[in-house]
Order: sequence, then C-alpha cells, then structure tokens
Amino acid sequence: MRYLVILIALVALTGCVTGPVAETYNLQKIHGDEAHKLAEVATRQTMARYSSSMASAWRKWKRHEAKVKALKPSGSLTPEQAQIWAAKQGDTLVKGAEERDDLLNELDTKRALELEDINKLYANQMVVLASIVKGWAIQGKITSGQMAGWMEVAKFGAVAYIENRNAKRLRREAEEAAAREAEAEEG
Amino acid sequence: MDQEQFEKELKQFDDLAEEFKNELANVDRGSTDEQIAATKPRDPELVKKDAAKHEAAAEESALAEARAYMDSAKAIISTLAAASAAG
Repeated sequence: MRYLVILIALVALTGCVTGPVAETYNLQKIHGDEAHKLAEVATRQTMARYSSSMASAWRKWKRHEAKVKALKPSGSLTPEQAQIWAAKQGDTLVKGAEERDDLLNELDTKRALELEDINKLYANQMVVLASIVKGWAIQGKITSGQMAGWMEVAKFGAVAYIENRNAKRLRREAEEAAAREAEAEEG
Repeated sequence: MDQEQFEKELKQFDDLAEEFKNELANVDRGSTDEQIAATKPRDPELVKKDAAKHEAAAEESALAEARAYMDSAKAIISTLAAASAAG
C-alpha cells in the first residue's frame, strides 16, 4: 500500500514537470528573419559595391571631360562661331557634371540607407540573441548545440560590423581621392 | 568654316554627351528599392520590447515550474506522512 502511494505521488510529480508553460513570444522567428536579412545584405557586399560604382562614375566622368575639352574645330571659326563653340563646350561639361552628381548622390544616399539598415539589423540581432539565451538560462534549457547556434548567428552580426567599418574607411578614402582630384584640377 | 560644316562638328558635343549618358547608365546602381525594402530591419524599439516580454515569459514559466515542484513535493510529503501514520 505504501509503495503504491509513493508510485502515484511520483507519477503526479512527473506530470508537473511538463505542466503549465507561460506564453512565449516568437523571438526565434524574429531572430531568424533578421539574420536572414542581415545575411542577404552582407551577400550583396553592399559597401564595396557602392564604392566601386562611385569610383567607376568618377573614371567615366574624367574620360568624358577630357574628350569634351579636347574637341577642336577642323578649321578656323568666325568670332560668332567661336563663341557658339565655347558655349556648347561649356554646356556639355555642365550637363555631364550634373548627370555625374545625380548618380553619385543616388549611390551615396542608397549606401547611407543600407549602412543604417545594417547597423539596425546588427543591433536587433544582438538584442534578440541576448534575450533568447537569457531566456534559456532562466529556464535551464541551454544545450551545447544551442550555444553553437548562438555563436554561428553572432558571426552574421560580426560580418555586418566589419563590412560597416570597411565601408567607412572606403568612403573616407574615396572622399579624400575626390578632394585631391579637385585640388589637382584647380591647380 | 562654312555653317554646314560648323554645325556638323558642333554635333560632336551632343554625341559625346549621349555616349557619357550611356556609360553612366551602365554603372552598377547598387541594390534595387525592392531589395532594400525586403531587408528593412524591424523597429529596434519594438524588438527591445519583444525581447523584454520574452524574458518575462521565460521567468514566469520557470517560476511556474518551480511552484509545481514545490506543490508536488508538499503533496508527496503529506501523502507519505498520512501513509506512515496509517501504517
């Protein structure tokens, strides 16, 4: 009789282990979505791509500018023709410079926007991951596999961080190069 | 220079402008608006709130589990005490 009572009590205790579970929030899904976005942006190699495009736009402009400046009439011009020629040359250069600036501005705006998004994704990831791991710790549910997962995902954040840092460097270098070119032009 | 030849040569500027326009069009313009929209992060403040809710829920769940253990332990002790008194 005594053993039967103990057995019933043990069965009741086991039932309580899987008993009431408080409502949980689907942070894992948020974490998965944000990690996916972060990986996608990193795969696009956002910052290197924009720097390369901006440099390309500058190179194309320099070539165009040289061609326009080098264009000479095949014969002698009347004073009026010379005036028209000079005005046309100046106008072509101004329009070209405007088109160049439009493109550079578009690229710069997109780069800044994506950089900001990468920063936010990274910060979100860190908040979500810290919260998930803290939740596991509170509940005593952390396993080595989950810890490995944490480390793996943290790498996404690190990649974005490094890319961000590189982007700042590349941007500074591009700006310095542009300033040097402008100075050389003026000189 | 006669006017016809002059206008012909002047047109070279338009040709160069067109060529430059095409070259700029070939520059990689980076991510499309759709790509940027698809990778838009959640509002960081909302993420923080969700994270706080998650932690509170985990805590509540752990407390509920602990309480259940305590209740069961008490039940076992009183059952054993009753059985012992009866036996």
